[in-house]
Amino acid sequence: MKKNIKNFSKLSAITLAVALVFTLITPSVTLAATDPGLGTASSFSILAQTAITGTGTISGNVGLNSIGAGITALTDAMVGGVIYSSDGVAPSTATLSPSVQANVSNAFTSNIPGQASTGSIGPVLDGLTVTPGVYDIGAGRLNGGILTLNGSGIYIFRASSDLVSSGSVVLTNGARACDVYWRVETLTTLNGSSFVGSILAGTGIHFGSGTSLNGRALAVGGDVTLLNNNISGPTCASDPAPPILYPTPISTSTPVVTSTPIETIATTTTTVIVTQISTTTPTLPNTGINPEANNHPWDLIILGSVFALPSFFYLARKKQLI
Amino acid sequence: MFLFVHLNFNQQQATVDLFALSTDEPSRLKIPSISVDASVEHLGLTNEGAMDVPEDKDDVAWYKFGPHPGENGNAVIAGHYGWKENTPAVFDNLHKLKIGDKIYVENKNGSLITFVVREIQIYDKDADASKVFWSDDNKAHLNLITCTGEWSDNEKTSSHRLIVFANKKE
Repeated sequence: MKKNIKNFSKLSAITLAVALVFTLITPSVTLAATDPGLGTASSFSILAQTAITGTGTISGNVGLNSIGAGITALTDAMVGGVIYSSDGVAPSTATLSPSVQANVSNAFTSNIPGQASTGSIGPVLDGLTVTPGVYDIGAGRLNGGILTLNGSGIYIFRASSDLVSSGSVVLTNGARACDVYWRVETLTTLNGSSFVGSILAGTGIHFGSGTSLNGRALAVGGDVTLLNNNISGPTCASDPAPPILYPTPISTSTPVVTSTPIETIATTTTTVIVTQISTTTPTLPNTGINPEANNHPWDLIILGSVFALPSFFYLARKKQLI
Repeated sequence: MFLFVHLNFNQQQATVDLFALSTDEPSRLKIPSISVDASVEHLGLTNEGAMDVPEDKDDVAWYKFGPHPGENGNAVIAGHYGWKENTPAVFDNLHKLKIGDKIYVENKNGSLITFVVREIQIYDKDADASKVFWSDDNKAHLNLITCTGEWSDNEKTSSHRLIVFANKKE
């Protein structure tokens, strides 16, 4: 009996040890992002609460959770879908269903905040490449650079305050615009040439001139302002054509090199010599510094010193003792 | 764009730099939001036709064959990106600028011209730079250039250029 108890204790101890080891070495499971479920709002390119100003080309439905008079410039002709408002008065042609508002609000207040974070990145998003997941980005900024979304799956970006972009989002290896969501606590400002994803913003979404959006502009508070924008999609095709990242060279309007000195123009009393006229467009300067040159490895030198000094004193002491 | 006019009146020659007449020259560039306060070198073109770059990584270069900062047109200033001798170059944080940030150019006479960031773009290093150096809206702009992207050991340059477009604050 005593032996059995002893064996049982031994077994328990081994089991506990194995469990402990497994707990320590098992990698933490990263929960995948899930679609926040826009429901009836999925067919909307724009949703606003107080006003929709400006014009653009809009592929889907447009909704204002207020009277139609708040839609100041957009017309039916500019909208591929239907314009909805709370009173169905022109320019809208229909009354906004409460379920659209409810679906967006639910995604904004519950479905997106309720998801476990994959990690915190940013707030500067330029140059980053991320895989599907839920990312907290603080006051998100895309300062003219490129954010690359790499791989198929849902991407959710959560800005704790505002989001400002003048850059571009690139989709690679199966990433799709219809899988990208931005939850912005306050205002979203989109400049630059293009942007990707469904934006759910707390206090409004403001577009810069000509910025195109492959996604949705859904404001749970505030307005949506347009400035000749194209809002379409979000497309569900993988690897769509990349956005325009660089200005198209306008070779025909570029002044040609005419640095040749102009000949002397002489009159009887005055001589005018224009010694140089430069109408050349320079190529861009080389402002880079070789990252591997001219930098001394101070960290290694300091680390080496830390080990070398005690060794030196040890040897000196040893010599003294001898 | 850039004129040196020599006027010869009855054997007496006078040299007139039209730009020197129109405005003073830039001496310092200040961008408080990214802690830049740099001396401005006045440079032209390299032999290859590129805008020249400052000798000192802590300085910036103003393209002297273009407009002065504050004149109508695009004044262009370039600065280095990266680290040298364990300290960052003047435009190492240029990418942190955002639309609405202020840029100041101090002239030699002490006057200060304010610009506001309008747009930030990334260009391929060989891209057409017309938009950077030219404008026809009869307004004063300041465009800042630095390197970004991948460094090429073969070409000894970075793959892209970061361009900050700014408008003069009226």
